[in-house]
Amino acid sequence: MSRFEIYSPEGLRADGRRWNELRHIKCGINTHSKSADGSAVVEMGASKVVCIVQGPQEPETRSRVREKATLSVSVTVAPFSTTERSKHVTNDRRLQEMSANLQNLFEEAVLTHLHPRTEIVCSLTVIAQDGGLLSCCINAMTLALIDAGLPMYEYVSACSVALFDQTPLLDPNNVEETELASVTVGIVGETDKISLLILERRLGLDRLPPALELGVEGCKVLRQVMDKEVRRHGAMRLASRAE
Amino acid sequence: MKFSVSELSYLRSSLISSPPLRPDCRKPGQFRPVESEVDWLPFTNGSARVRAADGSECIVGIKTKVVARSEGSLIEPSVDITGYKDNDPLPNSLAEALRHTLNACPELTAQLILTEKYAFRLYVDCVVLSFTSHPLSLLSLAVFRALKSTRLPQLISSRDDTLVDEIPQFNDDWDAAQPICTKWSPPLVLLLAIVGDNVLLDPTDAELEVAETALCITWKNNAIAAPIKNVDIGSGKNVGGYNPKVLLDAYDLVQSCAAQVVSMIVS
Amino acid sequence: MSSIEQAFVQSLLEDQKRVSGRRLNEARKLELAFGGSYGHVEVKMGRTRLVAQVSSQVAKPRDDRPFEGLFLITTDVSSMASPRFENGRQTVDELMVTRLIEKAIRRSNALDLESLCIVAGQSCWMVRADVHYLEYDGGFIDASCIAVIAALLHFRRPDTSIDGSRTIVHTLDERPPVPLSVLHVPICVSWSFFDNDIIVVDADEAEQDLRIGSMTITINKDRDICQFTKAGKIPLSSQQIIECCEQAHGRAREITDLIHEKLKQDFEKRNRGNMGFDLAENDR
Repeated sequence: MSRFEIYSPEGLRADGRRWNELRHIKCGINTHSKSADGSAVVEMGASKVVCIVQGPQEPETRSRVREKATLSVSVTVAPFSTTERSKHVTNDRRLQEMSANLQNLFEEAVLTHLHPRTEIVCSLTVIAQDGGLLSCCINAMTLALIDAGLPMYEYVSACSVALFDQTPLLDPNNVEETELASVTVGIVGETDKISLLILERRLGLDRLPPALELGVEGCKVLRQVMDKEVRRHGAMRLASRAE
Repeated sequence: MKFSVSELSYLRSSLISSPPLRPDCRKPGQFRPVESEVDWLPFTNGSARVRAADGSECIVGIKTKVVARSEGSLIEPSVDITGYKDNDPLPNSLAEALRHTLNACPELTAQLILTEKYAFRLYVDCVVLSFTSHPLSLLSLAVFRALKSTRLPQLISSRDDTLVDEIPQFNDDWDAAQPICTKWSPPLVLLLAIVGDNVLLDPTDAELEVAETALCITWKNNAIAAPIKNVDIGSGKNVGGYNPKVLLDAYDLVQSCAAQVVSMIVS
Repeated sequence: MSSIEQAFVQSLLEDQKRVSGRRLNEARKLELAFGGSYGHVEVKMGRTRLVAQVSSQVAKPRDDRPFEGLFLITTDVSSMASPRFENGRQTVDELMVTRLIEKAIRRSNALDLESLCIVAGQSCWMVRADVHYLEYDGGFIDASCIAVIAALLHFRRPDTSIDGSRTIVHTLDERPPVPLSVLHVPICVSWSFFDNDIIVVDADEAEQDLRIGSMTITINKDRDICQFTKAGKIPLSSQQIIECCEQAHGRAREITDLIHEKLKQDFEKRNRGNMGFDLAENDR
């Protein structure tokens, strides 16, 4: 793909977005009410992740009995989630690293000390991936944990930013992500302070600040979208109770 | 769910009575309600999502790849269950059961063959998001729905390539794609529990707990088909032989109610 | 670690002090020694000690990348380093060490894989770096990254020539060995987070046991961030992040210079007495 197709001189990306536009976000909370304590589905563009939360419950192994609740995160990637079919093994190092990162991030946001000696099991299933996999997982997990009624300080929201020369491109899709270096930024609440920052490709240090700034703005928008969904669902539940 | 000895004994005696009394008041040949959606994954040839009333959910995505015909099996099922590892027995035994069933289906293989040298390989990938009772029936329902919605791109190069070395060419127009299920219907595997002399369709977890064994019977093109076999249900509380007459009952039960199950999921 | 020890370390940190007497943003001194054979490096940082060995052999390239050689990094955290590690079982922390080094060096293209190709699609060099941990005192990621990159810079592979369809590998006596083409020198710098928003560079064992989270930046002399990993714990403003990157850059410059200086010394020692075919390459 030529460079002009990724970001045209007129300022348009391959899918017609401007540099600071997010893809269409669709999120649902309490989608699997019968099978889980908390559940959510988040779609960012063509990426789609389902998160199911069980717990707090009795830990399966003794090592998880601690003073605080243990968050155990597992990520399953469906073989049909990419354009080229690819089967992932569950102990794939990349997935294990991702679940460790998710666990570390959410230990900051969930008040785990309120549920000592318990385990909170979060299972993420990636159904379709088109860029922004980690951020999609983070957003889905936030909603599912909220749905499970777990006390949290604030929403955790994340989005990624790719860099085309000096121009940061918000929420890159798969094509942009493979062509360009990108960072994933995650924040807890509506702050400018960054909780999660993952960068895996080479990037000049001087190009980082604009990317961080744009990423934080994107996260704030995502937080609003998620908040709206939680409130919509809450209002619906209250209304059904009032009847 | 764990049951006490007295609960299990009560359950067993009500299930072996004639006619059997099931805890949810179902008839022996009644399937629990399911809802399904098809064609909802953008990157697949065919896909389905099936949800049971108890919250069990299964997603199936079917993808294809052009391979040389000499390269092994054309049908490649895989099963992922959230929270299970790759080497756990349950996902592997389910995948094996699916492989068995789909490979015993000559109509399907015939549809996959493109030319003398090339064929499609069909990847049937299943993800079980959650389940309460044995997921085999649900999985099979989802695969059934997904295969029904699967379409293959139209071949525009010649079918006969024995003399010329040619890589198959396809029509770019997805609307021209051909459905894989033309005049035949994909196989459906039904799980039955045998309790005493009774046969129960679509058993719940509790029912399997007190059953002697479980059977799977395949239903294809409005008839019972191979494979028919025992399924390891892992509980093993009442392991023992069963009356061969029960097999005939199971056969009859499937004969009488399978069509209903099919019409339920297609609607 | 006993709780009284934990309280001691924590209270010192709150007074901006450390058990080792270092400042909060001061890393440990790095010792680097090359062994007798090419590509053998021993790195010491405080009590942490590890050895990296680079070796090469001729292999078949991957089908999807016929023009590239193969490069493998293996890290073997065994109970030799500390009784806390179990042989044959990898904990999440060890996994993160492996992944980070892999991302820092392999995925940042520190080694030019195309230069390892001998005959496209037929044969190529497979370079492997094995890291062995001898003693553990925190900072495995930083130390192993330095060791691997130094070993790659030090390594010389045998020269090859092609005779018709045959690939000839010349022994070291026949032809001077060839250095690997290392494109840049990534250096990892790790920070540890403690309660009350304390951030510390290059934690040792006691501090690493007490910390609540960590952050690793990989950067080279040319101000390219190769990898950045920070997941949760203490939120940082983008200004703080840039500051950390600048600090990491400073350390990367120092270490890169140190590696090059040590390399020069080592090759001068090696070439003493012969007219030194290697001298031309030392200036890189």
